[in-house]
Amino acid sequence: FCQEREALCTTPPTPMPSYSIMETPVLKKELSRFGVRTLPKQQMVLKLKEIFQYTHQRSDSRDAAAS
Amino acid sequence: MPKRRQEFPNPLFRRWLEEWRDQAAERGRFRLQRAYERALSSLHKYPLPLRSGREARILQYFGEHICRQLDEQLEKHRFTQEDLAAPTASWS
Repeated sequence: FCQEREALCTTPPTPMPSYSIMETPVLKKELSRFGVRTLPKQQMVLKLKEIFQYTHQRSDSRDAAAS
Repeated sequence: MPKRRQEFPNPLFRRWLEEWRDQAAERGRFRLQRAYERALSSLHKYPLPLRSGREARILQYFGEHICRQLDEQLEKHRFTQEDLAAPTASWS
């Protein structure tokens, strides 16, 4: 029972998109949604992961703190 | 998508860019005004806190000039904040 509860709290609600296998034009488009210019491919992947982790982690902790 | 609207991560950069945009408009420098306007439009979309003007170079419409200007302004800001002995990390 406790394990189940823990899993509910720690599992992220949205899985991270697989940025590493995305084509460059798709990565460009994704990043332009965040106002970021075209960068070398690897850097675009890292930036998208960073943005995803930051936005999701923050909204989770805020929801938890508010409830 | 997060349900709640998150706090804006770069309030200082936004404030300065808005100030410079307005100053450019007052002086009739429309191209410059538009440059700041465009920079603001990408800043509004960017969800992460920026630590320097240099770091902001990855954003669309942030050129050499704007980034250097932001770094200089940040330097001044840190200096005055130290004088007031106030926390310096208000942009992070």
